[in-house]
Amino acid sequence: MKLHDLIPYRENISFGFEKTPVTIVLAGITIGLILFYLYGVANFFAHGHHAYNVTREHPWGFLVASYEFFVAVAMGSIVTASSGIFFDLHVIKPLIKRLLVFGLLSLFAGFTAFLFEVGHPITMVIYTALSGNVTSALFWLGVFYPLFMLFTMLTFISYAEKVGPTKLFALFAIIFANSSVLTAGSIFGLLNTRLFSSGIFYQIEFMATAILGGIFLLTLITVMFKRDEFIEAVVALKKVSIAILSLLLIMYIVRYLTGIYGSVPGKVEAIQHIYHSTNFIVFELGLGIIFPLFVVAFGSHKKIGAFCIASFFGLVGIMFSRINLVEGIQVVPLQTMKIKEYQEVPSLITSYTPSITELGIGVGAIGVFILFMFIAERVLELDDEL
Amino acid sequence: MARYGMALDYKNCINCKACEVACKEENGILLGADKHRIWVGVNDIRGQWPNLDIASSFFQPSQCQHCEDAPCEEVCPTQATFTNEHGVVLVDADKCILCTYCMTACPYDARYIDDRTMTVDKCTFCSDTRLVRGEITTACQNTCPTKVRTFGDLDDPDSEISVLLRNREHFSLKENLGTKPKLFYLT
Repeated sequence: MKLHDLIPYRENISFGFEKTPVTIVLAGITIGLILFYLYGVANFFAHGHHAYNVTREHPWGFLVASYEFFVAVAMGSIVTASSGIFFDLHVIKPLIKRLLVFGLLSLFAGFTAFLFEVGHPITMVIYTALSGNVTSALFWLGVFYPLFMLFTMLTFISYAEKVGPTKLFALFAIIFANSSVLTAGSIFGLLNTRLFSSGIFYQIEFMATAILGGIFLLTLITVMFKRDEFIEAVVALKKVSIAILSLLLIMYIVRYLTGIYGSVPGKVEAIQHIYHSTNFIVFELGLGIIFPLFVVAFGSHKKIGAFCIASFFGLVGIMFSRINLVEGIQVVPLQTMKIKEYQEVPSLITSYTPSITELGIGVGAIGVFILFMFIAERVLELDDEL
Repeated sequence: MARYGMALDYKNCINCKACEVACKEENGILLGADKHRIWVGVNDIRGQWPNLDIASSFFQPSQCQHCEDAPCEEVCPTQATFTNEHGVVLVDADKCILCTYCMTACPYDARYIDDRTMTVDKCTFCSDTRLVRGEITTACQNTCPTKVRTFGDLDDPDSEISVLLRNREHFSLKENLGTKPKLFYLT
C-alpha cells in the first residue's frame, strides 16, 4: 500500500499563492500573528507561568478561553462534514474534505494554546492514562479527544480514498465530536462552586456556538477564496444558523433573568458584572448574535457577501463568549472574609487582564491555525470531483 | 483508623497571626500575599457611628476544610488530589499537571501554586511533619495562644474534639454545597 492510498496529497506541491489585495493582507496578518505567538512562547519559556496575569483567586485566564474557541470551531466543522456524509447531504459534498481537515487543524491550533496553559503537559499524558479520575470532566476530555481525532482522520481517509465503512466512521466522528464539546462545556457546568456557570447552560451553548463556528469559518473561506462552488452549501447552512442564533438569543435572555432573579449572592454579582460589560453587550451579544441574526433574517437569501462580514464578527463573538465565561466564573472571590496579607481589603470583584504573553499565545494561535490551513490547502487534495 | 478534623473556637481568635507564621515556618511556605495555606478572615464592624453592631466584628481563622466529598478531588484529572486513610486531603506533586482545575473548584479558595515545584499546594494538617511521627497536633494549633484550634480523631469518642463537638453547637462553611467539611466552627 502506498502513502497516496492513505493520504490524498497533491502530486505537485507549491506554496505560492495568487497575489490579490485580500491574500496579501491576509498573509501580512498571519505573519504578524505568528510572530506574536512566537513572542508569547519565548516569554513563556523565559518566565514560565509567571508571565501570565493569573492569580490565586483567578487561576484560569485567556488561554483557556482561546482553547475553548478553537475546540468550538473544530467541532462545528467536523460535525457539519460528517453529517454531510452520514445523512447524504449532497449540498455539503463539495466542502466535506476541507471541513474535516480544517476541523482537525483547529483542534491542533487549540492544543498550541492549551500546551502552555497546563503546567506539566507530559505528566498530564502519563497520569491521565495511568491514574485517570472518572469523576473529572477534564479526564473525559482526554478520553474523547483522541477518539474524536481518530474517527475524523478515518472518516477523511475513508471518504477521500473511497475505502472502508465511511458512514460508520462519520457516525462515530459525530458522536465523539459532540461528546467532546459537551464535556468541554461540562468542565464549567459541573463547577458547583461557581454559580455563574453551574448547570446545563454552557453544555448547550458550547454545542450551539460550535456549529455556528463551523458555518462561520466555512463562509469566510468561501468568500475570501472565491469558491463559487461552495455558495449553495453556505446558503443552506446559513438557514440552519437562523435557528441556532435564535436559540442562543433566547437562552441569553432567560439566563439573565434567572441570574438576577432573587439576587442570589455570588450569582447575581457575576451575571450583572458580565452582562453589563462592553465585552458582553458589544462583542458577545451585539456582534456575535444579534448582527449575524439580523443579516441572516433580513439579508439576501441567495448572496453571502453580508453573511461573510457577519461570520467574521460571529467568530469574534464566540471568542468573547469564551472570554466572558472564564471571567464570569472567577469574578466573584470565594472567600470575601479572607484578607490578603498586610491587611489589604478584598474586593467583591476580582480583577484580571491578560498579560502580553497570554495574548501572544492565545491570539497568535489564530495565525498558527491559518498557517496550518494554508499548508493543508497546498499539500492535500481537498477538492472533490463533482 | 483515625479520621482527623479540627474544631475552631473562632470567637477566641485575636488575629495575632501566630498560626499563619507557624504554618509558614513549619511547612516552608514561600513568602508572598498569595502563598498561604491558612489565613485569618476579618469581619469588620457593621453599621455607622453611633449605631455600630459590635458583635458583628470577629475573626475567622480558616484553611482547607478537608472535605469528605472534596470538589477539588472530584475534578482532578490525574488523581493527584486524593484523600488518605486518615481523611486528610493531600496533593501528590508528582501527578499534579498544574491545570488548576482544583483551584477553580475549591469553594474555600484553599489552594495556591507553589512556585518551587510548580504544583498546587494546600494544607496537609501537618501530615508530613507531625502526623507521620505519630504526633496528633498541627503547627497552627500548637502555637495558638488562645487555644482556638482543637485537632484530633473524629472517630474516637473520647478525643477532645469529639467531646467538644458533642457538647458545643457548631457549624461548617458553605454546608449547602454538600462538601462535608471537617473543620467545625464552635458557637
